[in-house]
Amino acid sequence: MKKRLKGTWRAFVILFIVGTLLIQSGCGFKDIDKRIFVLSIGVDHTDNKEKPYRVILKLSVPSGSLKESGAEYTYLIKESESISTAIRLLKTETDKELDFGHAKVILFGEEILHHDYREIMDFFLRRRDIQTVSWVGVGKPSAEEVLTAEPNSEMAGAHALFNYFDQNGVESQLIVTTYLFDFRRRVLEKGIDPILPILMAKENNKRIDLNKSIVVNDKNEVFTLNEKQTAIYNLLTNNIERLDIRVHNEDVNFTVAIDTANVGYQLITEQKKKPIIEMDVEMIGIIQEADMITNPEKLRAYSNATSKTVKKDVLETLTQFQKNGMDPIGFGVRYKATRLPNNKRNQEWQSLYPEVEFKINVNATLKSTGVIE
Amino acid sequence: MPLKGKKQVNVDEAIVGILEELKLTGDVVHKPLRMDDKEIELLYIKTVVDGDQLHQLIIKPFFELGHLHHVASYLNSLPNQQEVQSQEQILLDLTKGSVLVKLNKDLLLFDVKKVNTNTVRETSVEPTILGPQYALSEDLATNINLIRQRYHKPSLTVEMHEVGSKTNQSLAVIYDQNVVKEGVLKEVNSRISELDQDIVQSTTQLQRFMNNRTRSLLPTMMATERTDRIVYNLAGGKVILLVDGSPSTVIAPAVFFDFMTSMEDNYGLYWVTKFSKFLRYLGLFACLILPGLYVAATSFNPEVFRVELALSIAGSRIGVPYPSFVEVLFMLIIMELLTEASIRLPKAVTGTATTVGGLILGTAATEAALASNIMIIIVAAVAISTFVIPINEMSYAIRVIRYILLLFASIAGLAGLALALIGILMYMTNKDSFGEPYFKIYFNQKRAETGDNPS
Amino acid sequence: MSRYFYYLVFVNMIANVVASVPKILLLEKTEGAILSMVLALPLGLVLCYIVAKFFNRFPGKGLPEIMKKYLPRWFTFPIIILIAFGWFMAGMITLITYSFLLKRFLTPDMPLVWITAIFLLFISYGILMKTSSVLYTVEFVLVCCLPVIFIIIIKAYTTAEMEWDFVKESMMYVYRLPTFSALAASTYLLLGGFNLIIFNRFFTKRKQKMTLLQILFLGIVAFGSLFTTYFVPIGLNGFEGVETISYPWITTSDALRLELGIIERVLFVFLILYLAVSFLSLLIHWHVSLELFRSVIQIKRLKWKEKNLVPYIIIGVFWIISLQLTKYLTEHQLTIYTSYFFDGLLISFIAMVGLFWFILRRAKA
Repeated sequence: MKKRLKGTWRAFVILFIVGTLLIQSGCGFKDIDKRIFVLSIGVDHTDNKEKPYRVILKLSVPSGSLKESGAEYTYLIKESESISTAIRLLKTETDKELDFGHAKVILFGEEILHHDYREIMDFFLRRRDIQTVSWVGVGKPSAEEVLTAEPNSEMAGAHALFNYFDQNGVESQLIVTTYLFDFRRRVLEKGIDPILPILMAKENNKRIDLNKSIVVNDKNEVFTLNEKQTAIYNLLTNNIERLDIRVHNEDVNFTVAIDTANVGYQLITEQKKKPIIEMDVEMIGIIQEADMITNPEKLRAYSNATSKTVKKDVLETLTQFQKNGMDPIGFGVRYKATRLPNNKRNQEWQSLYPEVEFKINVNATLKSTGVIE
Repeated sequence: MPLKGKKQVNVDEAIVGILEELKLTGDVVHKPLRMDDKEIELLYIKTVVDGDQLHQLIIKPFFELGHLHHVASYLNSLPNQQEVQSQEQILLDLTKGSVLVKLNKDLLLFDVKKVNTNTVRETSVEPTILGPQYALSEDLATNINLIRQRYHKPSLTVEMHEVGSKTNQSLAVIYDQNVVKEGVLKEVNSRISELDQDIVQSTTQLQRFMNNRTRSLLPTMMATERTDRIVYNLAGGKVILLVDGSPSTVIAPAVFFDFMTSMEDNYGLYWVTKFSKFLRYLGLFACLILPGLYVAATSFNPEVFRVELALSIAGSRIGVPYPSFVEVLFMLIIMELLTEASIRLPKAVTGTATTVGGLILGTAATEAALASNIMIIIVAAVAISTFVIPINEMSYAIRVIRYILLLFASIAGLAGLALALIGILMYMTNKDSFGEPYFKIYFNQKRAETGDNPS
Repeated sequence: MSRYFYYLVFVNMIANVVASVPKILLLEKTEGAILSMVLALPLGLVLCYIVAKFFNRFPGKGLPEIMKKYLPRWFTFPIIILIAFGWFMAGMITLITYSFLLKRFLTPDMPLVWITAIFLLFISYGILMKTSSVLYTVEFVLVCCLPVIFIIIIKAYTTAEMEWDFVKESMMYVYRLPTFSALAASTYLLLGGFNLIIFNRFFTKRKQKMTLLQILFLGIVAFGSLFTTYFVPIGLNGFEGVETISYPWITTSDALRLELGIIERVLFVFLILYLAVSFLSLLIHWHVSLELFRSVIQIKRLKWKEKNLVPYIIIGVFWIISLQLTKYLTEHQLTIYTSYFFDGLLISFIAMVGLFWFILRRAKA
């Protein structure tokens, strides 16, 4: 057995190696300094009928020593009738190969959501080198302004937008993180609607704000959530555990920092009755800021007040969703998941959703009043 | 008085023939000893014979004992006496340091050789911290003595052979009769009898000659100078080969995992040992794939690693004029040259070499944009981790394998690197060392799996 | 039962992803895939048990030797050729699928034929090895891959993006009747034991026992494997979104992120892991195929420097067929043909059970 492999095998390997060395060029060997990395992509809608898309690419320019000079970026902008055409034309504008392997942020202009955002999403998904865990968002006033903003707090080598979305950077209840695959499954699934964060460029493009979000449904209608509604959305989908709630009614006035929150819900549909969604919210937290002296013996009363406030906020947000025909939390999917399919579930839910009555039970427990009373 | 030889040797013819062979060399002594009516003739080569011992053993008693009969009985009872078989054998023994005594038409042969190389040396190739510090010497008898002193079992068997048609060195095959594997012993003996080399000076040469294939990369026998390792292997049923004049032995069979064990493992605590074993395998893995991984990640798929790393590599390669695999090759070759040269450096120059290698090559190469920063770190890591492997033969083999992996990584990127790794693995599992599979993970007790057919 | 038998079964369980099994199952997601999977478990286990028990009676002998001893020559020759061809096709499906994967995701600039050729180069060395060496290689690579598989599975089940609502939605289709193609595809996971037709040459001790406990263990692992293969893509990609994905598990693993790892996209970890696993699967299948061909095609005249050339010619034929097929097949055709192949495989394995029974009767007589 050993002798059999000796001679023929060796000759073959040598021939093979010589052969490969001769055709080195056709093997996909491209050195890293002949590539330039695209860090984020933006698509805006223009009013030009023939060239409806405006594509912005943010490229990173490598520098010899990242510690001395800061991060440098260049931008490529092109208007065209489709994104692939735009990218093909943009390729000719740099001397290096565009490498999309690290493109992690995709921004849409808000106008796109009213038109055919599905086609754009399709482009990003079909390409193999754009990560399916890219973050998707909406740029206000336009994607171009947000992408070209270079905030002062950005450090060399770390793209600011990455840190916003990556929970390693800033963690906040006002940031909605949507991955590309999540966006896709929400778009294709009829029981849940996609939600995107809104990034705003402020102060002459030196600052990026991220605290609102936007929901878009099947009919291309959009609904913008303000800060409070975004926080409530994050709470309801168990995306965050820490949030702040301001409790303010006649006798109490303080802010609570919630440490752990857990939300679950159930759909109850019975014949001849209105469908009910019953939600249970459990929260544990401490008092963070108060306008008055907080008496530790009254913690139970404070908890009740907190519960009441949260219940009001949640009800208000959910009713807003219902009125505008949006369902970012996925009640429709839950409906389909708890009933045997009969090929009509989607239509049934469409007719049931506007009639739904929300029953919210909130159980907030305040553990202490903080370091001082 | 009776000759124990198989053939009757004609005494006078023999002496004349021997003297004829040895007449040109100046250190032959042919001396008759006479006292009254006692007479014996001595024939020996004086440079290999211990003069003192000869005097004590043969000359003095000759003159002190009364009658020639007494001398004959005395000489025949000496334990140093060797068998006389043929003229060629007498010549051979004379060159090894025996003295030929002609007594009344009888030929007697005594072993009074002088050994100069029997100093026990300290371990230089495989040092340990807690274990024994002395290694083998260069004399066969002393070595066997050292081994026997550590392994007090009557079943320890020593078989002597002769190798080298021109040099006729003695070869000792040592094994423990109770535990040795019969198949291996038979294989070893048959390969020894097939040896037809002219000169065998060191046991390690046997590694190449006793291999069935003339060109191989990975060692199938282990060379060591440490007596404790020898003893552990003897107790495990292996066969030890020792050539006279060589301070290292060769252990057969040896499988891949033997080459990654160090004697230090036996002398440390459990978790410490486990950790250092893990480090060793990590070092092996790192020094194999790092150069290939650099080429694959830089030129084929820079999107595999994090974005900060990709940007950092791109930045550090600014200004380097040639593609990444040439850069890697260049730095690796320089490192190999450095390693190779430092074996031969005289002691006075070692300091210069370290300075040249470390400071100048590293920093200056980066400054001159001949290599990137990251490349220097990778080469340094590779160099250090190569020496984590305890046995040197495997270390050299790994160095060569690294280039094969680099080649496949340059051709086909990450996929090529992974496939080549599996290819090397297949090569190793296909090898066998004297009937033992070279690369097999033993989950049960090693003995149970290697006792009979593995299943 | 010796641990090497388990390795043969496990490789099939893990490599099913590259053999398009999830895609075939997900095509039937509204038509009874779940019940097919549930049925496939006992069916596969029974087949596994039968094959192990059968080969226990003939320790150290492969199927060609057994058949030559008990059956007439005109019967064994075509049957063995057919079986060998079936194994060759099984390996080739893995090869072509993985070449497509590599071309699409890891090395898009390399010509497809080149990728296949490099694979074939290493495989050719591998299948010429001794049977024991193949098993040792499989053992080592599997042991190395196990931690990676665990990481991916744990990451998949614990990521916050895994929506169990989608999984529950898909489970609502449990009452649909099973389809044959889904059944055949799911059974493929447990058919690794049939590699014993050649690998039994390695098990020369009679002590192999296949107890109920071991079958149960295999069953549990197979259940976990099937569950993960089918439901995790649904959970991560949405129930309605999963049917339009070309490679469900690739997109699924791309949806996972190791935030604090060296390699951030789990996709690449997945691809390299599957390179190793599909190499193993290909190695095992083609080794069986080559050995089967060699046992019946014995032409003593072809020699060159004392080496029998027949294995090399067979390998050359393998090369030519694989390279041609990679050039002409499209992904869609590949999936359809794979589905047909699995259907045929299930039927032929049931026929093989009949063959075993026939041989046993002859052996007793």
